[in-house]
Amino acid sequence: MLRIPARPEALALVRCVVTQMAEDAGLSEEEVGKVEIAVDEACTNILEHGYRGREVKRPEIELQVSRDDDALRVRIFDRARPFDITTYAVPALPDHWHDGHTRGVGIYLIRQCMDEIKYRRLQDDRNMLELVKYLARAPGETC
Amino acid sequence: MRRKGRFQIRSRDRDGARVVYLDGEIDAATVSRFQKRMEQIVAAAGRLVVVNCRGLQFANTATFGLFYHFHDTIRRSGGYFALCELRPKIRDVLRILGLEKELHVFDDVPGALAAARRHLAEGA
Repeated sequence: MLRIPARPEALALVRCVVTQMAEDAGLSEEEVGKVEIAVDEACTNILEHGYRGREVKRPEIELQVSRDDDALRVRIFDRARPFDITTYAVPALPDHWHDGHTRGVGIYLIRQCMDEIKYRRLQDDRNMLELVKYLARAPGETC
Repeated sequence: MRRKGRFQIRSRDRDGARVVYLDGEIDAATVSRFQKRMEQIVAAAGRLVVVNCRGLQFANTATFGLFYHFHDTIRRSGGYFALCELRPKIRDVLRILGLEKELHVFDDVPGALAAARRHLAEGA
């Protein structure tokens, strides 16, 4: 479990940890890159939207990265405002860019990069976002 | 907590273009500096801006939005904005965000400069 202050300067450490875990799990370079940016975007959203204007004594983000036989799982916990990423309507591309927007595609990117996304509001008023990347099986390997 | 030198941006003139070199990581901590510096460069540059991304190790989605913004700004004034030497993971995100066909992307600076000069010659 990694607990960091909810500050932009802490994102580099988050990326370092998830990248290393993704590499250790045997993901390809391409997939490691996808996990890295998906987690960064999720944490950035917490910093820039979740905690903004919210009175929290020590705004933090907790990161839990685990691997089982089938997948790499990144769970992100925070005490920011509730936000169910799974219900967010993503913009249409490339019209979004043509209309002059420069932001607002982080959630779209997370959905494109990860295989599963789960959100829960926990009983202790924390958000839990789980991002899952399936691990490829070796040829001939069975369940 | 602060890591010095995580993102650097510099530029120089080359063959009539302004070539920008990005090094390090652009994320929520550094994207404002990237934007501000690029705005200065684009305002001062002529009609050709080439961004060499060989040293760019990470870029968040806001960075890509800004790439399109600068491309569009320069295009509207008749100029040419290009990216080159993108790392595979940067190029992947460009593709996912629907920008690979919207932006001018090249393998290297000479290729970008050649295309830019052809573009300007055709428009003259």
